[in-house]
Amino acid sequence: MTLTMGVDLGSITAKCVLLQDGCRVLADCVVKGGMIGDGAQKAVTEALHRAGAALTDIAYTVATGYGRVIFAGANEEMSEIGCHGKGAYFQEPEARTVIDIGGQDAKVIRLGAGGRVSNFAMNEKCAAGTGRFLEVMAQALSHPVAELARLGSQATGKVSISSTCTVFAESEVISSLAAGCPVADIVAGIHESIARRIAGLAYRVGPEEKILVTGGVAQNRGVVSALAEKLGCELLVPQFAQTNGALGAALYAFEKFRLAADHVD
Amino acid sequence: MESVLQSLLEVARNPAPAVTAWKQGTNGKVIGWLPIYVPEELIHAAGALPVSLWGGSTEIARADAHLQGFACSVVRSVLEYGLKGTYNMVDGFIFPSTCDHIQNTSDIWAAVFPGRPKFDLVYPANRQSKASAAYLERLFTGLQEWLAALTGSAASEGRLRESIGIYNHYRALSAELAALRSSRPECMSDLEFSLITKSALFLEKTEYNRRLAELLPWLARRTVRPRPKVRLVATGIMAEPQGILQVIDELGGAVVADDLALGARILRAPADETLPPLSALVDRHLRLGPCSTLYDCRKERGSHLLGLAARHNADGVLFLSMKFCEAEDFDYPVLKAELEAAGLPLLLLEVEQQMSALGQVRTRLQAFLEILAQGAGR
Ligand code: SF4
Repeated sequence: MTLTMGVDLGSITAKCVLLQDGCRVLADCVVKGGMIGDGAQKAVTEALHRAGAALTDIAYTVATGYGRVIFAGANEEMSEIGCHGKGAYFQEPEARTVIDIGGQDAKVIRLGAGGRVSNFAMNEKCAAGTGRFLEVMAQALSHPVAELARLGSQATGKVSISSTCTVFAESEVISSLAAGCPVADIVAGIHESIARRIAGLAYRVGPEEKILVTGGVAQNRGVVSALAEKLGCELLVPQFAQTNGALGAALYAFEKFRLAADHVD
Repeated sequence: MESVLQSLLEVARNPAPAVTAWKQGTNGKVIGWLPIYVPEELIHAAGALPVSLWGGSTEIARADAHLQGFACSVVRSVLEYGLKGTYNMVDGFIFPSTCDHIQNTSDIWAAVFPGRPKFDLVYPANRQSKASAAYLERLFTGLQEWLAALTGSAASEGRLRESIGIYNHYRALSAELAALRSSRPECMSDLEFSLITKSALFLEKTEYNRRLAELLPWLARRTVRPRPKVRLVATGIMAEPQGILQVIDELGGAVVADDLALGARILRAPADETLPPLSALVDRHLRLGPCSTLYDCRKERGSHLLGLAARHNADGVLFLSMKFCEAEDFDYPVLKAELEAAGLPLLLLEVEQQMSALGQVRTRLQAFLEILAQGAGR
């Protein structure tokens, strides 16, 4: 039995996946606190605890995400683009496009034969269309971010948020509140605004079905359905949506370990 | 030999001491020129030192009072350096009509620094017309006269001939350096190559040629990094901020050829020494390109990049897009379509000289190199 580990150290959360023999997920977990603080350590400890394993059982570890360079416990680091592609292909071999909406960036990845990344696009240095955007809006509305999907589902209309800039969009939200617009309709407008940004990004690489949505924001059904409407096709949210990058890293770790073992033989 | 290399790197990182030393040593005039194409030979023949003003990583504060935030960082930082007094040792400035940004910065410059000698080098947009050569000849004669007035001595034809020879030698040595990074990329880092190339823009060329000629055989035997896993062609205005090159290096890639303005573009097309000297410079200008800032009805940049990639066995192209550089932006869609059709992978990276956080750039580069490494099988 070979255990490998993938750690995805994002801007807001740390994710860890433990994989057995490159095919079975033993544990996956998400911990608040990404690059700053001990999020990565906590995620690793938690995943090991859930799997009943020790750090010394791990044959190989690959780190990914923004904090990948500063995470000391890895054998290797890989880009999150590659890892998300890998994870998505494992979860859905027919996936051709991955839309990953994380805390501070959004990416659209096109997969070619064998799940290899053939093209990708990332948002520019701006929080529009990312988890951070949702957080700021949730704060302006004084609701927890996890509540947004439920709130949005009660909307009867949509308040249009026209600004791309997070700061300007926030003042639009506040003005709409002041004008007495229903919170649910504002939330629907916020979801729509993210979907617009992401769809624009997706068109840069030309989305092809099947399309997987991953990352923290994939948990928000409101965003996912607004995006599906924009792209005019069905979107799949896989089982390991938020830990897809860490899963990809663990899969890479398994491949790398095998490669290294072959060399020794 | 290490010290020769270090001296060049130091000049590129901090040119002011070298320029000041030249000025004190010769009592000559220093002429600053803005990107991209200026016949430096004319300045050299007039006994002055041509120095390039291509901006830098300085923080922009004062320049924002005169230039909009959506001007490219090259003109913004040039103006910033001017306002900060970094160019105090420069006696005259040449503004070529490269793009709207430079043309308008030239007007702003005149308003901000009234009385500081400045020459506008207004190139003909059309280089195919018969009138272009005659026009250029008059333009360069005008520049010669301006230089003569500034330096107090008119350059003889013999002197100009000599300068053209020195500059042709400079281009030939630069081509040797470029060939070396392709045949033995392990002999110098991408950053070293880029800094050596840049140092030339602040040194008197006889001196630069001497140092580079000394350096080349030593570099050819040197090893500072492993064989690259991925070979890239870089295109754009310049490979700055320099951190980008370090990231490529760390990720196991190497730039083995370039089509950068501050790089191969200004070093192309040796002057024809069989022509009368002024005509040789005119003829050279007419042959420059391909370049986003030179009108090119045949749109040859795409095929040029494909050729470079093929000749240098490169796996992909890096398009370093200087933020707000319209000339480059207009070229991109055409290039993207052409390269994609030919199956040559291309990565667009938007850069600014003032960029300090390279996290996103690193992710993009790493993903791109991972994709290329799969294909390269090195
Ligand atoms: S970077 Fe582009 S816009 Fe800026 S000075 Fe150079 S050519 Fe002009």
